[in-house]
Amino acid sequence: MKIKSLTNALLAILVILAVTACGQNSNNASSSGNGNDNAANGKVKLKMWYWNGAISDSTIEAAKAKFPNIDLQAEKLPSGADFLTKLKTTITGGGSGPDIVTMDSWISTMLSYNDKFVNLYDQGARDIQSEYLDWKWKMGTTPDDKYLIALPIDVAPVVLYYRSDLFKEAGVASTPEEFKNQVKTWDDYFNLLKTVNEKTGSQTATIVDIFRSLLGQSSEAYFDQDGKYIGDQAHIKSAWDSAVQAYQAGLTFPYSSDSEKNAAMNNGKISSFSGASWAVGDVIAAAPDTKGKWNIAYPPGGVGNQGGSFMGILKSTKYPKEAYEVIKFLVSPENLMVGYKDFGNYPSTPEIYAKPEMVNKNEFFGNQDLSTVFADAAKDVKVAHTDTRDDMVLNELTKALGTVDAQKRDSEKAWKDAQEQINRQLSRQ
Amino acid sequence: MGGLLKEIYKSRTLYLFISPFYILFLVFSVFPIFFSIYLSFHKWDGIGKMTSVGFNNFTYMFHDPNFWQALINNVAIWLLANGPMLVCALIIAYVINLSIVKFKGFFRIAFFLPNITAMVAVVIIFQSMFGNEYGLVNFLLVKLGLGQVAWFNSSTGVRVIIALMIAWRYLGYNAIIYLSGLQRIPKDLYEAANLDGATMFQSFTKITLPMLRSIILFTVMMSTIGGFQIFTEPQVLAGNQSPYPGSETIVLYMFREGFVYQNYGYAASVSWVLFVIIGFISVLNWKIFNKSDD
Repeated sequence: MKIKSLTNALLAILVILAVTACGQNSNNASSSGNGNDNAANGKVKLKMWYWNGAISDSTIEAAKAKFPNIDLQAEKLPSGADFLTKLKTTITGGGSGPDIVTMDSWISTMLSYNDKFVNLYDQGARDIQSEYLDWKWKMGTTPDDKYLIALPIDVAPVVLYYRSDLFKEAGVASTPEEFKNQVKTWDDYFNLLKTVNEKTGSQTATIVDIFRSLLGQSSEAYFDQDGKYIGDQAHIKSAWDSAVQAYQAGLTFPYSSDSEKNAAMNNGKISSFSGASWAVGDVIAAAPDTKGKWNIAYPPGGVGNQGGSFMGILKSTKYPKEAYEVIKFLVSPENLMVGYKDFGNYPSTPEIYAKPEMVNKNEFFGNQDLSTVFADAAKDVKVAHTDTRDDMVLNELTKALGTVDAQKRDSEKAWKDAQEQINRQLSRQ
Repeated sequence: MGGLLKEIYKSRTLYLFISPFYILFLVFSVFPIFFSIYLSFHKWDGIGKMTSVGFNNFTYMFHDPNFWQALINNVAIWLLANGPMLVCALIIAYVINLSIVKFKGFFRIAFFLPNITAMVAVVIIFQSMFGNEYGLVNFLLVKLGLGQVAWFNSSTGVRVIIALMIAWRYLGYNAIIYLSGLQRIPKDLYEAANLDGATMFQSFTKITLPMLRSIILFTVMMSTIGGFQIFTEPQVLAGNQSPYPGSETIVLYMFREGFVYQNYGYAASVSWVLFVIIGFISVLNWKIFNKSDD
């Protein structure tokens, strides 16, 4: 008798599970944007996925206060590849996924699946387009600019971090203004570094870092708009050659890990390096002994971008209108300013760059106002066309370039081998 | 068949009780296994359409020098790590088991501790220790009047470091297993050997080793399987991009193809080739150890 009632209980649970599962399926099937049926129980439920440091928690609280009729459930997930995998699984498998998702630079890989996202142009995003940096905005649109899958959050312009004391000691350009005016190209920069190296014995980052920084400034990457491979052409080869040249001139410091890089910075072995706007915190943490000796400047050779995120709405949502209102609020210029104050995410809305609240003077950087340099750089960022196969190409190239220093390989041979390997990968069916 | 179904129906209550495990097992283990077979003959980026490519994934793999390099790295790391480690583990177990050693419990715990430390933290510590420029090991080498070694610049150096990490981690684990095997060997065998005037070395090779054969087989098998699944160490060491030379193992190769380059179909075929390799070596182990039984 006892067992029987237990059985019944278990059966009942199974039935409930099955029914709820079916219920969810049917919900998804009919999720064509009509949310009024749920309005009966009062609140519109919106689930949002983000990672720590993507958007400020106080902003999310502000959004909850501003939209009392919306039940905003913000879920903090681990960032990086895990987040992407989870998002992909949800998009592929369906099920009760989030309504609002945060996306990183890998947003380009999502553009080919734009039909999985709500077209924000349909929700009136054209009206706020002018508030955002154009290059950043375009990263979230399809090439024909008819479909916008996400609104910009922050940008990460790459600038030059340098030890002004070492450059001054060497008697070369040492203030941010001098840098901007005198150090325009990488050749200028390398010439400067040679003097600094002779006078102070300090160097810059690794051969691979220089290659990456150079590539980041290019308006072309490894594939053109039609998906044709162009990674073996002059713009990549010249970046490669410049990196090799810097290495051969003894300007690169071959640290083998991040902790070695930190040690080298703290010991004054590294006089300068290119870093994104978020590297401010890294330098402060890595090199406490060099406090007050650093500065940042407009980078030689142009500006690249390394990171910065977006916020979009999945097509499976029942409330695209409400979701759009929420993300519009979350990425509004005022709220992005909060993010900048909280964790140094530089906003993608140029109209606030000049505001007094944006001034960011830091003792570590000799009280230089970092924002002016970032603002200057953010406007000049060049973005290249991205492709899902970029990672593979970059990986093969940097692997080969690394051996030029580590194993003293001939750079031409390393280049040829890397191209062969890339072509083999691309020929795959 | 009908009889079996009837049996199941008769004891349906019991089956219902164990069903949660089987349902989860079916959904999260059995289905993915069969799906990955299907996947290995397709090209898939994780979201878009799957296209059938026949055996192309496999032909590409066998012509990809990166795959062979990963296999070579893997075998090298496995040999470097497990050969010396198993020998040392046996010696440690033998020493702990000697009657003159006190505080056996302390040693057992001390040797086992590395096994339960967080792997990522261990990798980061090893990475700093062996750093080319500021590593502790190089500092000591210079103090001893020897030159600096650029550990991370050569594939041999990187393999040695990864092998060291694995050996450090599993030394105690294997020693504990050997120790329990040693304790099962009857004392009178040693006493008899002693009376016959056998040396310690003789009783080790003539009694201990033969009596431990099945345990040794177990540890060799386990470290073979583990050795072909080395992942965390090289992954954390090298990150997603520009790995150190010699650090790419098969599982890392598979991971990169699948989760970084989005070639899920190809990654599935790599995993099946890995499965065959591990199966083959396990059978080989089994045969070798069973043969010397007679």
